[in-house]
Amino acid sequence: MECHTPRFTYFWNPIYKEDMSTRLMIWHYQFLLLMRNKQLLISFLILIALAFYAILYGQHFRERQQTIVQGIEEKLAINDSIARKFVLKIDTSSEIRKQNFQYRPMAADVIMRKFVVYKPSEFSALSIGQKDTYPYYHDVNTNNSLHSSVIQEMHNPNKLQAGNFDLSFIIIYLIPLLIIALSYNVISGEQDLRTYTLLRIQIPISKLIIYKLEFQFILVIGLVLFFNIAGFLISGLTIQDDLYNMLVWISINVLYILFWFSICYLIISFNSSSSLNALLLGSIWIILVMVVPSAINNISNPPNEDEMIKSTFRRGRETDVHHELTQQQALDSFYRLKHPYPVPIIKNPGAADIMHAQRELINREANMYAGYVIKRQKNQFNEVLAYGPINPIFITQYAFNQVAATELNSYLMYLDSAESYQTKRRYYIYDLMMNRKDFGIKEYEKFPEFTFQQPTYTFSKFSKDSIYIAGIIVLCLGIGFRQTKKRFL
Amino acid sequence: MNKYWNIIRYEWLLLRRDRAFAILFGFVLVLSLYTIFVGYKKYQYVKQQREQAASKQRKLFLNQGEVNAHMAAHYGYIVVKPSSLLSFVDPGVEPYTGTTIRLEAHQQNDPVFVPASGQSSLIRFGELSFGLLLQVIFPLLIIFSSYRSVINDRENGTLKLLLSQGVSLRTLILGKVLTYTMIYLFFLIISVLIYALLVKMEIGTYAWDQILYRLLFMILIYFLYYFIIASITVFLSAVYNSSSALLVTLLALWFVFSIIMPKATANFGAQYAPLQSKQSFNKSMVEASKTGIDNLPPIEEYKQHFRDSLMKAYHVTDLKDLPFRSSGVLMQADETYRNVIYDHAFGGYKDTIRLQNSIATFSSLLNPFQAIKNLSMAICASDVEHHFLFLEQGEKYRRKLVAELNHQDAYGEHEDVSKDYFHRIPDFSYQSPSIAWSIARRKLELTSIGLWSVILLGLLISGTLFIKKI
Repeated sequence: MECHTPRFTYFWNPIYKEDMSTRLMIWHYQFLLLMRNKQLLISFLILIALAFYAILYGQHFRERQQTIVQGIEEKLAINDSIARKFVLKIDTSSEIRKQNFQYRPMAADVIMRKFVVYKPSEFSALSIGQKDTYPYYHDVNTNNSLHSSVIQEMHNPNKLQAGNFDLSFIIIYLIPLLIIALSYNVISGEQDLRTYTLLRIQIPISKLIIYKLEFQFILVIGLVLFFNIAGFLISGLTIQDDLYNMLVWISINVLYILFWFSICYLIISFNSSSSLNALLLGSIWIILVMVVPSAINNISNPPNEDEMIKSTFRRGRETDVHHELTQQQALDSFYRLKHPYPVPIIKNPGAADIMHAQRELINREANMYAGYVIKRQKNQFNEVLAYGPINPIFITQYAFNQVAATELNSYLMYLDSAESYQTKRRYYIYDLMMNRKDFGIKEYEKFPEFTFQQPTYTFSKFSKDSIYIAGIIVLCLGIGFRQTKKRFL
Repeated sequence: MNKYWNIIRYEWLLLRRDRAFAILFGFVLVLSLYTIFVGYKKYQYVKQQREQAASKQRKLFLNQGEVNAHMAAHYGYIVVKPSSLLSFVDPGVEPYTGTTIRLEAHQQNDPVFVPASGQSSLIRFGELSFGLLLQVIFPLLIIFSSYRSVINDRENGTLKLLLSQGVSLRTLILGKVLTYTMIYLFFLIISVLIYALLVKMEIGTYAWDQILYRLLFMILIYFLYYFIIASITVFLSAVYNSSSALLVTLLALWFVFSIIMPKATANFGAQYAPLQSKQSFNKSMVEASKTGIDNLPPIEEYKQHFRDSLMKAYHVTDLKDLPFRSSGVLMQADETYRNVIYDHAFGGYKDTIRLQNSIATFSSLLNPFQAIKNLSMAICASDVEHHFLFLEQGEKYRRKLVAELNHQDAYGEHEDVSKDYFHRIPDFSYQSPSIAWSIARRKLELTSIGLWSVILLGLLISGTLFIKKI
């Protein structure tokens, strides 16, 4: 058989037609070998079963959050109808009711008990990320800062510790093992079976490695695409609405699979025994998937406990400093607060006005301490991302979570948006209440609404995040190519 | 006995000459020291944070001045779970449980500040703790260093030579199993000694005996665990022909046992016995107080009955005529009622969690990794049962505190308590349970480790008779 130097025009140049037929022949035999390998076929079946379980589990998780969100929305609808009735009913039958009339916007808000929700995206069924640990609905009524009224869903700590069995877990943990199991002995296996010399006289071994790995790559990509399509269908994703995210999701898969194949190629290129290859690849898997991420995780410290207490427990003793202010001091401090909304100037401040001014001061202080906590969390997150070049597995998980909006940055964006919304809502009410404006159903219907749109994880962001992984792939392929040329002459 | 000793010496000699083992040895040593020191540093950081927070909150409580007793009960008390010294060996579920609770009148609040809820998904890859090293990495290293032990002897003809000299295959395999178990036990003992030294420096003699018992127990169960791993590996090494096929099989087993099964059983448990949502939990308590539960009447009926019986006992027709302030007594009655409702609902929550976890617990009979994982968390006081204990102690303290303040509200000289009054109320102090308490909740896991050890010992003694390949 003639030996050709591989070039970039390999597939398209007619000169290499013969190579193509050799390649197809090798793929054909690889397929036959695969079909005869019962152990491997059983592993495939188990993997398929696990992948389907993972998809269904993810869907179950998402449906559960959706059901809870639906319950909140139903409760909000009931509260809304009660609040509307309250707004429509003008009761000035007694002097005290007449006095309280000006505080009706606040009363309507209390009846409404507004909640904002961090809804699970369709992709969250495929990559749950941290969505199960973050609070996903917040009470944004006027009386409290949303940071002081966090509702943590009920969890089983053991379940959280074990982690989620979702599709991203299958891709990140299991697919590399499949790749290793398929490829660790592509050449050494031939040596073990004493067919190596026979093959060597028929085809350059460097080419044989590439052809065999190509077959395995197509096999794994096909399998993963099958999982992805099944995941998309079961999660109710549609091409019309989610094509862009689907393509990014698939690109992450392809890059990750290429990454592991390039590592396998590098190890195979050193022409070692099957045992040593398996040992090295197994060790690399453990180091990359377990040791590196968990070691980087060790470096990060939990946020400051005192700041968290101050941001969360804003009632009672802790807020006495604001309650002890004189009326004028409280109002002056209230006027000095920064915000982009019309400043209510209270002409004849009543006790309730002062109370709300004090509450605003308390809530702002809670937001300030929460801001410190969030800043620390952001810094910690950036630190973790800075380790990206040595932590490619986490970067892949991060990329999946970006598509699914289940990562810390998405949650913090939602929190930021919810806090701004709550402030906007409060100032809308202050404007009505403290400026003694008319309040009827028209004004009630103009209460600000919460809108939060997750930013799209674009290809450019994905390319930027995965540049190191691409670099590792190129490096491994480059070194591997040189080594195969050197060691398999 | 001499034969075993000779095999251990021979095996150790071979390992010492192996460069790969020397690298592995160094790697294990570095990782062990790294996890111990990083864990210790983290423990100190968390400890300092929690102590500072707790002492600041205590000061605020003590210095609240003259205040209405019931208002003080509303202001409440903030308790912080102290950081456990053993949690840096195995943090267990601590990153996923709240560490701080606001205790106040009328309601039971959830623990807040779940460390994981403010972190990225990196936390889901786990912490490189000493526990992770002992449970997951050490078994892998046992596999890597021992999977060729008998295959090598067969390939280079040493096996035949040894057997011809009168060493039985059983003795040989048992000797090899002992060698690898001892090597990793040696690592464990060294690390535990370093750890014990750090602990001694940190706490002196305080609670030292309890920690010592826990460490000794840890050594014992890990000895059995490593014996199980080494037995499986060496036995299969005697059965298999191809070292690469054996390695792939062992890696697959390790992966299924330590990664797939714990995750799958936990996820399956969550689906099998789903937890109530927070909303429905709260709603169930409201419903229960409206309708009454067990022997309790509905809350309004209960309150009316209590008021009536109070007036009847003191022969008055109005609560104002009572010889004490009725508000404190009525609020305490309300507390007592709500406590029963809460205990009922929270008991249901704990039962569901235990039911979910029972799937993983039962799987430990098949999976020694799951057994050691649960036992390790129990020994290090970082499992869900210890979390429940903290919640129970916090709730007990809340009830005592609120009862005391209600009593003061009812029978105190003035409605406002004096400045010094709060100094009489003792601080919350978490009482760590004994090791017997921790282990008593892990009987099935202990049985699993014991059974695996006995069965494998039996296999090594009798199963070697059936190995024909020499």
